Amino acid sequence: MINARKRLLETTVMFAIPVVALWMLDDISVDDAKFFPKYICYGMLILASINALQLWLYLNRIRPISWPTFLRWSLPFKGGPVPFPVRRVGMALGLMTVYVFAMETVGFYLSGFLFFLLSLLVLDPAKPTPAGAGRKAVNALIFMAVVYVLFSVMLGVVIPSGIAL
Amino acid sequence: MDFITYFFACFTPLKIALMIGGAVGGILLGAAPGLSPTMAVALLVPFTFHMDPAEGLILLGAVYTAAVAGGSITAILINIPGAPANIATMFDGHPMARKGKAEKALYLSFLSSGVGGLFGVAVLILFTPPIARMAMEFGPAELFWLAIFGVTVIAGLSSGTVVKGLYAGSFGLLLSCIGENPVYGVERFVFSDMLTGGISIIPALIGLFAIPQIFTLVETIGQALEKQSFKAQKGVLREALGEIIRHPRQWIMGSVVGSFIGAIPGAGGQVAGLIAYDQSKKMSRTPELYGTGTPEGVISVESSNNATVGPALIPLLTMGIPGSPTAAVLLGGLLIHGLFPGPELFTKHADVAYTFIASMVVAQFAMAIFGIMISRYSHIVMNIPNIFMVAAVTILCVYGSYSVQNSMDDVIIMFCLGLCMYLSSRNSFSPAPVVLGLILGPLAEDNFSRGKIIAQTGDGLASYFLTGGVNMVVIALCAISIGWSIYSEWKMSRNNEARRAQATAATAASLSEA
Amino acid sequence: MKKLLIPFCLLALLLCGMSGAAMAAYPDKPLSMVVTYPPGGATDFQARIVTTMSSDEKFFGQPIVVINKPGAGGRVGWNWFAEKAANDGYWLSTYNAPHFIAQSLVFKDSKFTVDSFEPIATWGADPAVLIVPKDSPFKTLKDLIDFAKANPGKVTVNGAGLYVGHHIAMLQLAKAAGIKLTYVPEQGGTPAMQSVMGGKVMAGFNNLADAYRNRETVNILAIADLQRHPFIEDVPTFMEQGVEVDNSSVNYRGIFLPKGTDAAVIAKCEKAFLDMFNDKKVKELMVQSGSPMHVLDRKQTAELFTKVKKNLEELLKDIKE
Repeated sequence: MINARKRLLETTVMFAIPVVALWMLDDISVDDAKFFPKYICYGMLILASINALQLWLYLNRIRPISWPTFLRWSLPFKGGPVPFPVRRVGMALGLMTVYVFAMETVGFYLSGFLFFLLSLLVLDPAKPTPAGAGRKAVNALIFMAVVYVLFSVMLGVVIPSGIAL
Repeated sequence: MDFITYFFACFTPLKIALMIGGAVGGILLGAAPGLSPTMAVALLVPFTFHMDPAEGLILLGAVYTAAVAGGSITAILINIPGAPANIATMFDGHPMARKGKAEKALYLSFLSSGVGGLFGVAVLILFTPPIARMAMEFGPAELFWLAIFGVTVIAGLSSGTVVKGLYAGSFGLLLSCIGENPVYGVERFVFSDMLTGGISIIPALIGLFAIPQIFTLVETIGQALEKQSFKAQKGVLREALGEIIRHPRQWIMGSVVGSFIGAIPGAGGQVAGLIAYDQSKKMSRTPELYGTGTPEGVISVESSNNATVGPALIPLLTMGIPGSPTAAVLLGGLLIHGLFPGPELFTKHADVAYTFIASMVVAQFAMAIFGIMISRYSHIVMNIPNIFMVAAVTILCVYGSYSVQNSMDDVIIMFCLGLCMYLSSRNSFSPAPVVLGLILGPLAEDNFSRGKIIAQTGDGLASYFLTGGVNMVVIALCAISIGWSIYSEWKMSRNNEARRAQATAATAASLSEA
Repeated sequence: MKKLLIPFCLLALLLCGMSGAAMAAYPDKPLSMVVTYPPGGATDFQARIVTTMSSDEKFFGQPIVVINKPGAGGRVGWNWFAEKAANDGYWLSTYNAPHFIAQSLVFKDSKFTVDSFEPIATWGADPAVLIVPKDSPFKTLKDLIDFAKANPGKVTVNGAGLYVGHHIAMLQLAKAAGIKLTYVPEQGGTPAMQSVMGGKVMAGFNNLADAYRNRETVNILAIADLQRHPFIEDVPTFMEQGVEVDNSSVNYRGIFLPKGTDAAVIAKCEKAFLDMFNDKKVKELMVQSGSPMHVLDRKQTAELFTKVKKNLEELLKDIKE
């Protein structure tokens, strides 16, 4: 079944991007530099219209949503398809955002270790136990240690140091 | 013939150790998601300062070719490309891994890489003068048409959702305009300070492919695939060899495409894999199998990737003009040792030059052998629980994005692009066209602008862009590519119609019987 | 209040003494040098060569780690350096003149100007040379100028980018000879060299170092400097041939520090770098890689910046019209 709300959102975004881009191009003085992006935006608008047209034509017929190849699983999961785990994805998203923005201030290795540990704790569907948490911390430490040896010691690369290591 | 005399000079113990070390190190570095071959070579250049020039070059050459092959490991096992060259490896490699055939896919990948690499080095040894001359023929107009040829591949990649594929490609082209235009010196779309330098390819690649994959892993934590355990299997190597022997067209075509694109400086050798994939799909007898895990897909892509390595060295060694970003780093390495590219290199420093080329041949074998040995343990990676993958891959990706330009901004760009891609992937948009657009955009636009400036002093745009031997050849290729795409789309939709008609007829028949 | 004055003064003296002692201990950890161009490029490998010896006690006693921050012709790195680099003496950057000065003048939203940095020293001067393909009909500079006078705007001249030394040289040539040339900005020195070699443009300005390495395939017609260069003894300067082009387009490379760095640190850096640049081994490696050296100290570098800025302001006024 076609999810109408999702399709509407998709169509709006597809039209919005070229419009915003064209608006941003207006400030530019050199005409030649506007040429390429301008025609790309026009092309995108045409494609967005075709897409909207296709959606409209098929709106009243049952048409399965086709997932892109690269995410398609060749074999089904045990127990059939499950509902989308909103909470888990949200937590992962939050953790990652904090990690990315805190990395520079806190330092690569420390923030990496904390991120690894926290994601293991938070995203695990099983109930947390002290022993389990301890084991996870050890895993996190081992991983960061390997990365440390490989990158900082052997290759001597530069990483943001921040407060701690 | 000098080459033969120097061939055996590369078999000293130290040099062999460097070749093997370089091959293994290169495979491992290439296998880390986020570390591209360019970075791997750049990281090792300082090590070579204290080495003899020949030894330093041998190490760098081995790492270069092995890193290109190593990127296929992540592409196949965890669906994240190690470099733009490995994007197309994912299309068929990962489905094979999902079906339990990871080992076979990896064997195929390393064997084809070895074959393609040898082909490339053979081109380097045998055809340097004509290829160097041909590379010089490629000016702004020719490069522009080559970029357009790449763009036609975008359409071919997304059969079934052509409109969305083209839209994603255009979005990639638009993204490539962000930043300062090198020909006109104006800034476009820089709505935040982070974007002054534009969007760099590796962080974008990581963001567009890895982040959606990471979130997919998050979604499926705790769920088990039906075919649960991935165990080591016997006899797979023989199977893989058999596949290669049975599909000569794929690796021949892949190697030729790779050599051609690798030899032309500034032609974006990173897209050789995608172009080979597209052409191989068009030439195949079973195009509908592409994307579900057919060996042909892996063979053509991996042979073309490694075939770019040898020819990229041709303009570098003969004229000092690097044919790829990694070759540019190698140029710096050469200069630091006082080796000037050019005819002098082959006369005054013949021993270094020929030993280096000879070592490239041996490095292909080293890479293929070690790649195969490492692949035997691939099932260990497939069995790692998703939760560890999520954390580990995120950290490596963040590191990889940061290290390209030592810029925190790149990490943030990577993350934002990744989130957008994740949300759009639920609506059937795929990342490959976006990356293609990002890589080809500057190629097309800058060459068009430069060509325009030059043409305006001469006979005008039309005659500049539409005349000239090389131009005509490339334009013809574009036309054939577009024509074939349209033809195969039409054929596929006709097959679908026929199948649907048959299905309705069958259901009608069975209903009437009941 | 008075009772506290004496202890306070003693404390202040003590602190000054301590900071003096701290300065004596500088540097006590590796230094980071930002190179605003990609690895493998001319600035990058020259920077690596001139700093290889820095771990020696004679110089810094600590290694200098190169951090590449490429983008927008150097602007990304210099923006970062002017805004975010600490001025504790552990962060240095390479500079390319006239590039950074031209960029600060042309791009209004650049975060730096000539005064955002403390110049330390200069190591190299790569003059621009006029090159033509081997089989070009232009055998001398005069041929090119005559042809350009007869066909205004038809002569295509390329260079490594916009507002870089090569572009400046072209503008000066056009102004001095009274001809109209068409400039084709390329993506860097090597692509520009490639275009000239392949005959895609009629002439080009490029770095002396690259032209010298490729002298089999290109002809060098003139050098934009005040005197001839030992690498190419038989190539005359523009001025010798009657065209008023001076050395404003010479690509100088050197080191600077963020504004506000301590004076003692600056002095120590200047001395250490000048010693390193004049070191025999460094000179040898530079010559080996074909990179011309020209060492200037802090005062000379600052004067250079002022002179180049003045020249550029005048020249760039012409482009705007």
